[in-house]
Amino acid sequence: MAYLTFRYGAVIPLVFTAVNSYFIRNTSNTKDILIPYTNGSGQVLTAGQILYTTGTVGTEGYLQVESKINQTLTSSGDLQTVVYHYPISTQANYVLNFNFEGAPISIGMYYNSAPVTGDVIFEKYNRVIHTFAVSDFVFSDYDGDEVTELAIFGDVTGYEYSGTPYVSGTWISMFNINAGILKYNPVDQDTYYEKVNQYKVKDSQGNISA
Amino acid sequence: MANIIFKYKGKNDLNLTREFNSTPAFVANKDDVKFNDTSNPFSDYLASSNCGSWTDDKIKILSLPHKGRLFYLTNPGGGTAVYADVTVGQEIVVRDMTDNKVLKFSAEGSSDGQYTGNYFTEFTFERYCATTPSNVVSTVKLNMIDIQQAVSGIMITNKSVNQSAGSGTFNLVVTGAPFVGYAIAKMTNSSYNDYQKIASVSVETVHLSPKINSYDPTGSEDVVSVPVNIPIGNYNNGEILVSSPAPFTEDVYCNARLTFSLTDVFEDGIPAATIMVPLDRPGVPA
Repeated sequence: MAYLTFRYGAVIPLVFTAVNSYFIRNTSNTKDILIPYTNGSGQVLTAGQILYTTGTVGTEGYLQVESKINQTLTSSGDLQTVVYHYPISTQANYVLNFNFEGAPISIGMYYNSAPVTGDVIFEKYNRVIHTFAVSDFVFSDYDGDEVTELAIFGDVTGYEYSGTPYVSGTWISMFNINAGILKYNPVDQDTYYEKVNQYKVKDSQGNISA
Repeated sequence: MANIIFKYKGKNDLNLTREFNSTPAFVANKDDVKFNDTSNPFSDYLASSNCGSWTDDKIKILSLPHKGRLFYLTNPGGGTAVYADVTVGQEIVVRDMTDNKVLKFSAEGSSDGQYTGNYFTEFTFERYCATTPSNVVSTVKLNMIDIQQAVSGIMITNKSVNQSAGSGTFNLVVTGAPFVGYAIAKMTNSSYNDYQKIASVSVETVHLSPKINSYDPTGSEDVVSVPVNIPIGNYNNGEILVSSPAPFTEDVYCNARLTFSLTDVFEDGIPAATIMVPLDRPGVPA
């Protein structure tokens, strides 16, 4: 009589450690993520190899996880990945799960929104200096984070900060703005004119408005 | 990025010199200044629509004269004229001013009698329209000359006031280089006859528009700003010597305008006004 024999190999499965990553909503994000693993047994990945993908490049909702480099998973180490992600403006936190070579990978996806700003218009009488207050500006933050700083860009001739000419792009705390030390000194002329600059704000998470 | 946009309104000064008769007209004459006479700075300024649509073209009163009164004709359509005091913030359609001449200035005082004596006052308005942002704040400077006093001979001197022309103009005498001119300003304070006194006088600018020569009055006009010094003191009906610290060597006939800023210590905290004394007769070369 012949034998029917099962031989089960002692293969120890690849194991990935869950990791977390942070993204800005409504913005195209590119992030390198290291995913620790154990029990590698020579699995080979090539640079750009797609591990997970959904959505369309350049549009909201797009998410793709790729191998960052050519790499071989031996023993233990970090799987080097790069994540391309364009979250929608209301994206909630969640856990992204997918498999590689049958081994589950979990990435905690955490989101924050940059503050949003709006145009402000001041109509002034000739030669009247404007002293800024925080209430002059229009901004909001989806997450409710505190907006802590503000910077002005462009030709800032006439802007004065704490008695000296303001330097374009200098971040100013909202506290100092409310202290009345940011001013605009108009041109000493009779004719009508407009002065246009741009501004950005930064929230307590360090995210900067577009 | 969001924008910060400053829109600074333009500035425009309108200078009017008008005579009024302080006696015996105890009843206010609301036409002491007719803003829409032809060929005066006010009516010229309002001659064209700012907006391209007269419907939207308005002025808004920002401040009132501290002497005299601005009136608004409430029934321009006809009948016995009915006036109301103009108020700060009041909007007036420009077309109503140009067509119906609804804006009037009276030299009268608060007790319904005319002020006496010359005085200077001003009011401001903003000209605007809903469709364009290029608003302009205008200051109308009124140089009110009391012809009753002129009749008494107070003002007339051989150096200065061209009173006979009835236009309140002042003569400029050029005596050589550096330029030295005399201007007589009738700077009385009508509120305090005992102490008519100007506490300080300064000249902001003298605009000289020299022409090539007296035979070529149409020659090009170069506006020259000449800083001048004027001593501070009591100029009750007196002369003011206007001189330029810098040499002015051109031997020219010129038209000039002299702007005075007056401060009257006896006013109740209200500057006596800024006046413009037009010097529009040719000077006499040295």
